[in-house]
Amino acid sequence: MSLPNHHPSAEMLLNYSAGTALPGHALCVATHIEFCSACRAAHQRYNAAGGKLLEELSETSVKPKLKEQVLALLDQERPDAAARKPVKPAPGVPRALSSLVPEGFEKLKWQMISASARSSFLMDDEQGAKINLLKLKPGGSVAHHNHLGDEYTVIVKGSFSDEDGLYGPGDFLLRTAREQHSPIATRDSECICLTVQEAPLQFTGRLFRLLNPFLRRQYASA
Amino acid sequence: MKLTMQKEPGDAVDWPQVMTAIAETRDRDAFAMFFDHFAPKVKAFSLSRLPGAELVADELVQEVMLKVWDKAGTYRAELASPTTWLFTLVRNCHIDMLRRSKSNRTLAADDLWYEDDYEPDPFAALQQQRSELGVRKSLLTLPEEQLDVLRRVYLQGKSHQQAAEDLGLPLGTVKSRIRLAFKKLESVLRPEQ
Repeated sequence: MSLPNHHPSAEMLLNYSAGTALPGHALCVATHIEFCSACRAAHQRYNAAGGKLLEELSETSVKPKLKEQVLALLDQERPDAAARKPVKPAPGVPRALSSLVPEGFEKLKWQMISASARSSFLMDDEQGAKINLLKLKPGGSVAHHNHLGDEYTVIVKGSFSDEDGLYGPGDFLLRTAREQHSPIATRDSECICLTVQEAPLQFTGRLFRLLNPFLRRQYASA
Repeated sequence: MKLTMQKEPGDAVDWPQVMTAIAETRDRDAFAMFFDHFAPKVKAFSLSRLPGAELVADELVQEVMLKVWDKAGTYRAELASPTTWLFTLVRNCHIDMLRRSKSNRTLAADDLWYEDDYEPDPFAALQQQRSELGVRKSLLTLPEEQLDVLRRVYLQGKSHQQAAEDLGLPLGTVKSRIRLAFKKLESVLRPEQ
């Protein structure tokens, strides 16, 4: 498998390690690093820095009672914590998406957004960003659109191209607000992407302008 | 030869060995030792993220320390130092505690960070061990202004933007301090190139 060519910024990787990234961003980075050993290694370096800084913290006293309490709890059953089984993702589903896509991509509810594109809503993150999967048939495309907010995309399966280049599994893309693009899946296979949109999409075609109020309503109810 | 993390110069205690004792023989004395040394740091981390929240800090200490006991077997002495492993537990517990207080559906930290699930090949493992040691050795040699920004991000949980506002600096300056810090850390990781 070839490595991804498009990566999250160092700032995103750092925020992911430090635990300050928004959940949607963290999900994109987690998905990307499954495909990318270089970013995984960077993530481990960032973790090591976090460990060293934790170690250097000036200490705050902990009451002896708390220690007694913890020692007394050691042998008690903790079903949630102890029983976390290693998660086995469905075939083709990245580990990061295994709880959102427990039974595989085919079992999701896909909504038609054009003749060749489907989308499946996964969840809203805390800041109201929409986390979706987008599926393009081989050679399929998404209508020309730009964004009111940033859009993060990680390719999970297949590949697509847009005005700027060709993207394959694991590639991480950030399209900032008002950047227009129109992805087209390559002809050899369908393409599935994880997308995190921070604000409603704005389709620029004449027909889609009519649809925009509905898209906005979906966000307003979030 | 199986390489593992060693006791580091300046440490009075061989922490990788303490972790092994907790994992393999369920040694309660070893755990108590680990608690005495690290619980105050975990508490300080929580107070640094949420100043003044004493109860939350105690709760984090309890959760993290129980996780240390439960998950000690996932610690891999050939890949990381005990504090790096502990940092990932602290981060994940802290995030889960924050998100639990919100009612709507959220992503669990274990779904977003799962360092323990990777099984690196021997080459990647060796590289990871080398960069682990390199980062640990050189982090504190960074210029104070770079360390200060890193502490704000890792310990106080600030975004780059918030760190810039707190310091009264342009965002670009904060970003470049972070970039320089990791450039330096990464440069010491490639001695033979």
